[in-house]
Amino acid sequence: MNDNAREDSLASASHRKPGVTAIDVQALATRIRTRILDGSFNASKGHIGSALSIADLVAAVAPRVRGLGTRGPDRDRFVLSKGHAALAWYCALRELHVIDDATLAGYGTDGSLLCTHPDPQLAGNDFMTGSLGQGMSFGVGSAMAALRSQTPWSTYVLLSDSELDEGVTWEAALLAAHHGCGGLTVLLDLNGQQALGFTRDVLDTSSAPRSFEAMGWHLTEVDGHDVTALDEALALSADSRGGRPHLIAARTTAGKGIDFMEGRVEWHYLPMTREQYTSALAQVGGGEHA
Amino acid sequence: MRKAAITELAELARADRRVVLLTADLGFGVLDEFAREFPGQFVNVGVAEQAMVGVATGMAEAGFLPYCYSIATFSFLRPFEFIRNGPVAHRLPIRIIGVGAGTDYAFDGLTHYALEDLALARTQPGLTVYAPVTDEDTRVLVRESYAQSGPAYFRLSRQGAVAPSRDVRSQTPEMGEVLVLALGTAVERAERVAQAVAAAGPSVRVLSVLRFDAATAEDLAAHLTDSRACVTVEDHYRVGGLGAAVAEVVATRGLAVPVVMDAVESLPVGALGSAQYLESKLHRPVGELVSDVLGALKLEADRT
Repeated sequence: MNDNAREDSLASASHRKPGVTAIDVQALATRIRTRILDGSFNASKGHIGSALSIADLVAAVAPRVRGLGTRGPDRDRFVLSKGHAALAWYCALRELHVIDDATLAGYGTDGSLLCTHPDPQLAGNDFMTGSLGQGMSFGVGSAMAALRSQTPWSTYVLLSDSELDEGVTWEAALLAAHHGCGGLTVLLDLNGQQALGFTRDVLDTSSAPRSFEAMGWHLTEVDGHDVTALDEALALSADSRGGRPHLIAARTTAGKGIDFMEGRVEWHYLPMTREQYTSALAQVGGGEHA
Repeated sequence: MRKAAITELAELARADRRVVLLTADLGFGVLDEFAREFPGQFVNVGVAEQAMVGVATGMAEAGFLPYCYSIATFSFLRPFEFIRNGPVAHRLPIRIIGVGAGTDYAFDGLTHYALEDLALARTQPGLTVYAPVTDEDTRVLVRESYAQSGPAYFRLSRQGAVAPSRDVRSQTPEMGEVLVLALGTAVERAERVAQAVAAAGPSVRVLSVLRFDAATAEDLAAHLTDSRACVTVEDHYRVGGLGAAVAEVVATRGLAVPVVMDAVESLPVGALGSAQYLESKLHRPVGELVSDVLGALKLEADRT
């Protein structure tokens, strides 16, 4: 895609109206899932379950990030706080023509900017993440900066439920509420799993969404695989939320869409065999590319 | 020193709205005027140092120039990984101000002693460490940091030394027998060590290292080359501090300069006290340092 076409694509993606293109978002999510499987299999890398968990979330949010892939000071910011699911974000960047096929194909190879966790030198990555809990405070800082700007922007953070274990997540949450960061939207990926088990067994964080609400956040609880519901939640303006930061608590399933991965903790780490890859592709409705 | 830093910062903030001061709820009597004059450029994040640096990262990415203030153990050591993954990794102009270099908060105990901050800071590519000696140094270095594009850490004592500093970067190297290098306000002890060495005969010169950055090794080498022995004096653990930085230069450049290190040698817990008490408890007696220096000079003379 040439530069003009890419700009057109980004511009149209950034001015979507909620609900109108929900089917497109669903199709986008499916393409992202297919690309996640391709990328994981080709690079023989794990974190597939985490990436599939957020495929619908990134499909819903990425087209809303105004100026995605640019470095303009007033562009929207996106923070993938759960940096280990970066492959899903890379696939969204490819689908929105921020990066090209060759760049995405470099995932997990020597010299590529596309490693397991995001690096801000890659267009479309605003922050380095991978250390759980840090992205939330980066996003709150961005939102606090926007409050001081003549031309404010929106900040989106995609947070893992395991990051609720980190104390600094709560520090940042308190700050966002206290300072009225209405431009901040946090998508909480509530897949109920973390590296060594289910969150309910490791550290029960089920009260977290209500805790955010009690702090002064606007809370929306959605099915994280219902792109229409996600789209509607993301469309909620800061004014309609009384200027409060927005927590979209999205109930998701790790490994969503692949029967042998769904809800299985081991897919936080495992790469796929060819047989598994073929089966997974068939389940998401994509063709084999590898 | 902390007041000098904030006074200078206020001047910068007056001229540039991108300058923001964040504090993790410390700075009573120090930050008040700044907060009153620049309410839109001041944020008390609460007792949340990790979030302070994380928020500063988000603000700096958006073009602001955040200065993050607290006691050094809290503003630098506690959020160290945030500094590493935020300002350092993103190469952002975020400045961490740490008050209470070494054992400056004497009676407050180990939780308030920044004794390994320089060691940690020196590991980080592109992170400049400023270690002013006087209030005037502090003002100059705050202004200097404003003109830099990368991150920095200010290692401040509560009170600056009285006598003007002699900076290794600005002072012309001179031929001499003993070079005494000091970190921050430890220069006052360094002067006592220098006097004791001079009383024994050798010529002595005391200099301070105000900046640890890409040019520091060159600064040190220029002075060490013209010296026969060196004493480093610091209120910091021995590992990774000023003495270690000097030793790296001596070793890697093949300089025939013995180095006598004066640093904190033990874990400062249990009975603690005033600065004078701590100096006697945590540092070797000045007389021992002098003996080491004289012994090193004699060995050097015997060798040549």
